[in-house]
Amino acid sequence: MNEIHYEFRELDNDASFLSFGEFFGGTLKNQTLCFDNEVAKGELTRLEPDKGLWLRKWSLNVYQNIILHKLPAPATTEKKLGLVYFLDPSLFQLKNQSRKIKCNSHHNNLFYCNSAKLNFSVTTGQPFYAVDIAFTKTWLLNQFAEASDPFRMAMEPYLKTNKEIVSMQPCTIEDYKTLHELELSPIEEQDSLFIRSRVYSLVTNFFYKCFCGVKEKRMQCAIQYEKIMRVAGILAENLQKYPSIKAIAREVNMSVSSLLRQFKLIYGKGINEYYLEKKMELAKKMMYENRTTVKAIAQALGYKQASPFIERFIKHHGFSPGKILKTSFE
Amino acid sequence: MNYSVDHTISFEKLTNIFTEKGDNLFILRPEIGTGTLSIFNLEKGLRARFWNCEFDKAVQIHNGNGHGKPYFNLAFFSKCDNLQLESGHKHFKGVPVWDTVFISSSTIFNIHIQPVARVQCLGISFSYEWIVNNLLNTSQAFLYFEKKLKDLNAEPLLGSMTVEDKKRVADLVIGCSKKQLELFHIKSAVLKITSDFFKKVQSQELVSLQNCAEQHTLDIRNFFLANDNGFKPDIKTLAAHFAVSESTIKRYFKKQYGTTLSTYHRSNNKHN
Repeated sequence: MNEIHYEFRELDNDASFLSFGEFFGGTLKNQTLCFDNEVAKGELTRLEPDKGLWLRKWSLNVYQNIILHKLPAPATTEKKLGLVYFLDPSLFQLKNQSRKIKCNSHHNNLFYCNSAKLNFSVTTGQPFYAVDIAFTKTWLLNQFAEASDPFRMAMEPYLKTNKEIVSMQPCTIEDYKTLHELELSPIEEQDSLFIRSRVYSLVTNFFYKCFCGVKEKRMQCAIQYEKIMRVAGILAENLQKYPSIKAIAREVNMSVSSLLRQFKLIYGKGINEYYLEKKMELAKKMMYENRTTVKAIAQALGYKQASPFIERFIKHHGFSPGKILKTSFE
Repeated sequence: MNYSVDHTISFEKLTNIFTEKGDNLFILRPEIGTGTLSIFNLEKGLRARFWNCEFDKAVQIHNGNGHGKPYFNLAFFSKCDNLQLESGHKHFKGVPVWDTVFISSSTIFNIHIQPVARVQCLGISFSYEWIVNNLLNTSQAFLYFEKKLKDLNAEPLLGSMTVEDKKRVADLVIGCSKKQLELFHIKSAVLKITSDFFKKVQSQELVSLQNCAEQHTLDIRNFFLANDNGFKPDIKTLAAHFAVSESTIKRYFKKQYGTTLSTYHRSNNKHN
């Protein structure tokens, strides 16, 4: 199979984004490049939530060997930094100069500056989802203008020197949750507050884990992110009747033990606890919307008797379901 | 409902019951209670207030007169023992069921803090321009949002946080009062909480006081329509069915039918 090589310095401005699209035969619809040809199928969306801040969402499947060469930016241009989140890290091959960069579930969040030379390639025939954020030094300094002294001191080396930065970090649980939200929503249709809040959250999280010594639980195993998200979806669709863990594990092609372990790593709680929480949140929502009897809600959620439902509801929310119905305005 | 009040203050002059300590931090005056209020101007048109206070005195905080530029207040109470909220003549007894309140600068709204009250709250204020620039002008999905903002002038919008959200707010309030958080972290968290709230508004997951009362009367009407076969429930049965007090059901019934339940049954008997 022939290799396709594409060289670029950035994809932030209109011209560079458009020429990327043209090269791979994509068509531009609003902020999204759509690909449907023998090279790639899928979408690349670019947004600029703030001046000097860009977000790109890659949902693609490539059919040919593509190697993207990110060339170092000229020394005269403003320093930019970037974060890339690889949600299916095993599909990516990364190089800095000729040095291979580890890309796996422990190393799936790339931090780089625009003076770095990087090569990206991805396994063909496998759909992937990745998010990348780029920001100028000015944007970053504005955001962190009132940061504490220790934080500024920790950040300085990254901003002052012209030294090339390339480092890999693991995604945190918070990152996974935010990335999942971005994955689910058609981001070009979202309001600017949603996009901005999610991008800020990812950037803040990143610098916190780098400079503030915030140690999230490290993933001890290769996280099968997509499968765990599917499990959460299956649970949400079956809030009336608890689906068996074995059946879910079979459905997503995982062993029960790794399903339980990985679910807890991503969501920070066991499947059963997560399921009951979702069920109780739904119960509360149903009570507000339908204002029907407690018994009816209990039955709709698969409880034979109202009492175990009420007990669980109180344990979760701290007040009884009847209190919602009794809430009055005098 | 009458409350004894030691101090009355408007939202605009809220800091008067605190002593400024610098660095966005205010300490509650000792004669009123203990605790802190942290205020952060996060960006143009967006301000966050973090309360973590214990009140020994009764304080009434009332909303301003609605003059000047319109703005909005969104409050998340992660702790609100001994707190009563009031809008016009309606006293809102839902706490802790209703722990999220969204009002405009024109909403008639009071908070009654009774001794001894523990208040942990994140209050977010934003200008109309801020909403326009961040929401209304940026997505088709918020086309009808403007009407909801106008409705706020008459009634507050109420919501209820999930347990996870409540914990997030509590962590943020405690982190701010202990000065453990960087400003960008606060800004990022506040933007996320605000965005999630607006999504809830958009998906109609919140209720207004008006809607809630209307819903009760509508429920009663539907109940009678569905049971129009000679079934004559008494007040006790109806109260049990709708899980509200007998006096509440009497009031809603009168509002819907303009008469008492017994008169209603009697006139139906004559008619039949």
